[in-house]
Amino acid sequence: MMLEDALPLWRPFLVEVGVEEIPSQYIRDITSAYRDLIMDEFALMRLSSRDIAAYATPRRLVVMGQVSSRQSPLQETVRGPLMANAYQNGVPTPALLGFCRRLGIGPAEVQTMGEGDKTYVCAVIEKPIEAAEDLLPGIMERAFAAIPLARSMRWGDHDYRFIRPVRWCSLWLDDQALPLSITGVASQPYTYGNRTDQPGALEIRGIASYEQALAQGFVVLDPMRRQEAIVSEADELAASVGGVPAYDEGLMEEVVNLVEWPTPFLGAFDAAFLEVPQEVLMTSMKVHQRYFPVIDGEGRLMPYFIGVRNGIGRSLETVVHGNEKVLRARLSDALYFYRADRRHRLEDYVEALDRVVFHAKLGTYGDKIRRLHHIFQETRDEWPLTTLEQDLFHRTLDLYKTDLLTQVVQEFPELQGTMGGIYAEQEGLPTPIVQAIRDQYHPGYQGDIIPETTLGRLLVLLDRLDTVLLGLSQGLKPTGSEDPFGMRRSALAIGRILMESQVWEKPARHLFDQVGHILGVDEGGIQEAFELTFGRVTRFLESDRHIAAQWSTPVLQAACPWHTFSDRLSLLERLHQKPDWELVAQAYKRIDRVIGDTRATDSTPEVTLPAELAVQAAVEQVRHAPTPDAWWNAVQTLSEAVRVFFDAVLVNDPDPQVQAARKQLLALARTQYNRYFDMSQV
Amino acid sequence: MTLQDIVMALKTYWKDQGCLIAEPYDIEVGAGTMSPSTFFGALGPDPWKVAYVQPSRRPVDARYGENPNRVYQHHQFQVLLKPAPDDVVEQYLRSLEAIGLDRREHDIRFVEDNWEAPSLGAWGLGWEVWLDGMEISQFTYFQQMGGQECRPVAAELTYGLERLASYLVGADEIWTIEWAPGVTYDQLFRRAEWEHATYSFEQASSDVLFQLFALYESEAKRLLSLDLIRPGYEYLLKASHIFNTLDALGAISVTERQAYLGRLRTLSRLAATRYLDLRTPKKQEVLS
Repeated sequence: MMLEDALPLWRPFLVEVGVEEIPSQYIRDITSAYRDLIMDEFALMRLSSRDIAAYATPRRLVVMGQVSSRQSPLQETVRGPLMANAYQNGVPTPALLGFCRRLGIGPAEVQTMGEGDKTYVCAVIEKPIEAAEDLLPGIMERAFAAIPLARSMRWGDHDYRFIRPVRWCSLWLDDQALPLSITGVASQPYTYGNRTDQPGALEIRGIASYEQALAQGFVVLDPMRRQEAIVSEADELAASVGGVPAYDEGLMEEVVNLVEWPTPFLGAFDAAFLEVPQEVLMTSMKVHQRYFPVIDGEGRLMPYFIGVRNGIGRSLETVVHGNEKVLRARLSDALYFYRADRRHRLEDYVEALDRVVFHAKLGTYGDKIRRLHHIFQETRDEWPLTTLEQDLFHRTLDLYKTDLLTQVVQEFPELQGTMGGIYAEQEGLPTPIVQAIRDQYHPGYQGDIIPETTLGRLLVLLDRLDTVLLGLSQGLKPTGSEDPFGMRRSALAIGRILMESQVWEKPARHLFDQVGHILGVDEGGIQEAFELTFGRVTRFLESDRHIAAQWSTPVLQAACPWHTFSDRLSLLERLHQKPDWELVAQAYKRIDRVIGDTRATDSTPEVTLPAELAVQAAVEQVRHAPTPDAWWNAVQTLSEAVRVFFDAVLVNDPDPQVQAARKQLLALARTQYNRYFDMSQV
Repeated sequence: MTLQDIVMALKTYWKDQGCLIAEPYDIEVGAGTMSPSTFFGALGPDPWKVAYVQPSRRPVDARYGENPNRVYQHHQFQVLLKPAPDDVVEQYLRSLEAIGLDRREHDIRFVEDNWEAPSLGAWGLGWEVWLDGMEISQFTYFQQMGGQECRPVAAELTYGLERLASYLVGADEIWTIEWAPGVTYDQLFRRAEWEHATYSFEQASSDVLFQLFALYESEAKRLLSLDLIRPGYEYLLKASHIFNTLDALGAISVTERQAYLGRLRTLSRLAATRYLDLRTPKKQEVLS
């Protein structure tokens, strides 16, 4: 008995939930959510577990691993009546007897416990220990019901919801089938093979037999194994024509999760289609057909593609021919659109941008472009551009959205920008314009890069500032998980360009003020746009660069350009570890506490006492410190002077003039502390 | 295999699954979903299984009969199963076998597709069904119709007949499909396609259409408020087709578009709520 308590007996378990084809984009999240929720339930139910793994195909979620055969013991102390009320003359009172009756123990079994200055009667109860087999069904059911879903549906005539209908399930502890009910579907000792090769039910008699059934049903449960199979066969197929597959992470995940048993195949298309830019052809193959394009050693598209069939089936040549026929129709469309576009120049579309709505509340693209011209006109000397580049930038603004009206972009919206760049280059427009147009949608996602060129960066900066400043002031605010107008992404693009390039040499906030005023946005709106950007940058630094907000906030908050962020962050990290940090921090906090929101002005305060003059001199010394290290040395001197100052004088002098002068002196000191980072945020 | 052979085979198959085989609805619609057999059939608690061909008009897809695949009017084979049976996907796959598409000979894939018809206040989740890379069907579990929750949930299966036919006979373009032996799609529809495209893009008068839209809309509203639900719904369908024609003409801007869809949606909601309020349990009435 004791031995069994100390060493849990591990028992393998497996749960399978069969679902109609789950959209591939959600499979990974749903699988890991189910696994995590099951593990949370195990912990809650005092079951140990190990080697937990979760797998999925489009039609099934499976979690397996080992679980302890029974719950770990738990003692619980239950508080009873006050000692004083429990006994009268040494005899148990009705209060004590009632307590004992409720817990099913005798009065002799109670103990005492102190709480505060009172003593209570209490009982130590051994919680009942339940076996895993009795707990597992509830655990699996509760965990399944708690899986978060972006979009769920009902089916049949009940209220259960899931991403697609649940059709079968089973739960196993070794070879024992446990009862289970998932969304009203009762467990049965069956699973199913893939729809092509083995659509009928396959009997299971335990965990080992489950794995055999899947092999018999041509199902590869582990997405990693499906991916390996796809890659190794696709590589071989591409090599047979002297190429390599152009993999794409997102597409690979999708393809892996569209099949239960992958069978890659090679198809071909007419080389005449290669007249169309390969970006267009590849997008058509990937987006419309989920094919991997095949490229040669130089990255040039070859007239082949790789598709992945679900299951083994028969007549692979029928499948190949069918896919080739579909692709031919797709590429014919693309060729038609491309040729139609080539009959125009980008500037032909400029006028039509007045009829394309950017957003109902923000006007047309024509309106937006005029605003950007105006912003740039008003700020043109702030940017590191030559006169020639300034002219090129105005021309870029005229043209950068024109590709929205091309037929290729109307067919493939994801090629916006890319097509503009291609057409601009074909027209022979200057390279800086081509590059800026091409890069205008970067950064588009978390790990994306910022535009490569100064004009490109400036274009994205102004475009997104217009969007965010005007958008927020028109009420297009992101809320919770909703951000229909992509404000967060736009704000992050602004922040990243300010941090990762030197296009703006002043504090970030100045840019928001300047552009906000040009656009007629009020102070509240500017503040909101700045805060959104600040917040997105902080989150980005946290998730992408692993810099905690407690470090990034003080650095971003200082009145410095954001492109010096990294240097200032290292400075803060270095200084913060020094033993003399504490003296400085103390002095700063004291100043902050005493003067509150007193603002530093340009006037020199009238002070006479030695302690005051020492501070004043130290402030001057800090102000003129040429390097961060000199600044830090001077700040220490200042902090010492501040400490002496607080010992020697009373800031809140009865004479209001003296008081104001002292506060002003401290306000000037405070400004100097915040040269590289905002001390109040550290 | 001709297009009419496919229709016959699907009708026989779904008849054998217990479906009522209905006839096409006699008012212009953009999709089989808009037929009252589906719109009203998806509402309310009564079981209802129906299958029918529905000619479907999409003015914006008109191409003067010059495009190999896009046409003003195509044909859908529509199946509605309420409640959706547990093995509905398997039933669908067997229907493909009934027209000679053995699942082992082909690659049949279910690719996420979230369906929404803003003018009908309707949405559902399901898939596009791919046959060797080509979309041949849409498969939707209706969640809402006319803004009302669907209880029980119906499954809608829509087959694109031209796509199926062109695949089955290996036709590269719609025009060579045989409707019946020796009768091609070209003979039947090429001229009509040119006429409809010429009308939709050149001859349609936006003034007249805007007036018609307003008239149909107010008539729909009036009739629905009198609980004359079918006539009211028919005027909604007419308004919807007029909207589609205006859209093809390019007479409706992006912002106005939302407003027009909203007006149609208001009518759909009205039709659905009135229908549910008055619903009698006899399913025959759905068609009448």
